[in-house]
Amino acid sequence: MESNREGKRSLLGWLESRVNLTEIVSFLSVFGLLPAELDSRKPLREALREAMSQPLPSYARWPRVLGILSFLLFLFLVATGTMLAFYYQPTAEQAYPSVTLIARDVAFGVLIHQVHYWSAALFLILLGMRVIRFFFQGLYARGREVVWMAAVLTFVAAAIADLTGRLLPYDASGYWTTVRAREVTDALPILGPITSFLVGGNGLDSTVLTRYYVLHIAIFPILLLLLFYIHFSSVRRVGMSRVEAAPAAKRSLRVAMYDLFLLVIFMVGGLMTLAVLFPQPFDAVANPILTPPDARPPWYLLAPLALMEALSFLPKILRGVIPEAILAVVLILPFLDRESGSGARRMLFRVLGIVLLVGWGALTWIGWYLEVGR
Amino acid sequence: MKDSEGTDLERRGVLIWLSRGFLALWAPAAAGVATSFLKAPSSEHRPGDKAIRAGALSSLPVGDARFVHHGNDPFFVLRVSEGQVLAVSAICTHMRCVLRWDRETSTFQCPCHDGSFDRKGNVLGGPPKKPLPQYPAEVRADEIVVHT
Repeated sequence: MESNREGKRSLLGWLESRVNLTEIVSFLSVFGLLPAELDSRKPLREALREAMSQPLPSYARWPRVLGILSFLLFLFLVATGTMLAFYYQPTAEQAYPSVTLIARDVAFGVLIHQVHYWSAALFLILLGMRVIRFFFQGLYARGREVVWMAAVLTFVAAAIADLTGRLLPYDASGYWTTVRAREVTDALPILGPITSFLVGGNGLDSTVLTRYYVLHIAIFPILLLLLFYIHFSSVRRVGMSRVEAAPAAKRSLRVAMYDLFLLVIFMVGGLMTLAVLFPQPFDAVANPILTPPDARPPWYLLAPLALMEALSFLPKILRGVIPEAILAVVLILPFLDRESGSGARRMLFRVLGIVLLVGWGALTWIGWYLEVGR
Repeated sequence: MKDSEGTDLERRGVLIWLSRGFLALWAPAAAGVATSFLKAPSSEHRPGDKAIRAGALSSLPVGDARFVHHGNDPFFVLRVSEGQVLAVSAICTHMRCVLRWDRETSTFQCPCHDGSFDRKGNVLGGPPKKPLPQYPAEVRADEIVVHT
């Protein structure tokens, strides 16, 4: 009653009596931006005061930072991507002129493009690091299966989003990277035909480019948002990962928000620095009848490519099965390694994980130099 | 959180608001970057578009004209003499139809309403009132360059 009377005087109270402000603000917690859970039946001030009084772990501290940082980068990608979409034209004739217009004539066009580029690069690296961290800290154990699977699928979806984005400028490197990437994806037994179906053909003309564009700006961003939602929703259910080294000091919502704020500032600063010091300009316009000598798939497909080349004596179907099988095993890892604590089985999986990581790194190295050896 | 000395608290308050003010500067900066990015660049100010390459001089016989596609403003380049070129708009000043070059009479003919212009763009007959605008043209290393 009292808060109601108090509310009648302020704008907040005026709004409060018309919309559920607490529910709107608690939407932030859906995506980890607010670590607290707000009671949406209470008025906003009261719900926030209640959350402030609770001890809260912070997302924005190492090593838990990887999740929230990748989500912040995702928001950055959406913002810069939307801005780029104001100028981009997804046809084979107009794509390159439109991206050169962005880079040459639009105010801050280079900056927005470079921030989009570097956010995407960091996004994928951070998501990969997150999967590796979850693996070595055993954060896929009983109860956290959904967190693990969401993390793996987020990485895969981000890689596909990255892949579809590379073709869009229609410059030589983007075009031929996509051609080489299709070489890998077409060899996969189930995912290959699905990819072909979605992108609608093998030639990379306007009709296919438009499909890449839709996949890049609508389908995969929505999928990623959904996966982030599932991830943070699962984290709210099973709790944040425990960090052994963390001090027992009580943290409040205020501290958590302050951490998040600092994180945003460092992230923006880092992205601007990368964009200015290491710009990645567009290549020359794509020429479908002229393959540049260093055409390679993107880094995350170098290892499957090298594997398929090394196993060229096998029938095609078997070659494609191996990368898919690795992905499937990684995805259902929580159901294979059911042991909690540090049993012999956990040890075995750890060793297998190290072997897989080192092998993947070596294959990536081989994949990079594969073209030179020819 | 009460401090025993009021002055300290005051100084602290000022510093807090000062730092908040500095941090708040991020918002107008970001808004400025976003709005200037979203403002469509006007076609007149595109640096590369001012000088248009209109093909090789040697491929154009003396006394002949060549049609040059240039967005919504196509034009003709004429080779008046051995080293002299003219650039004349190919848009009829009457109803914006695209003109044809008539080699026999050295005139521009409008297919819509029979307007005609001489090779310098002056009206010879038909409904148009205004002459065709000319653009400065020059020859750079056998390449005709037109400035629009």
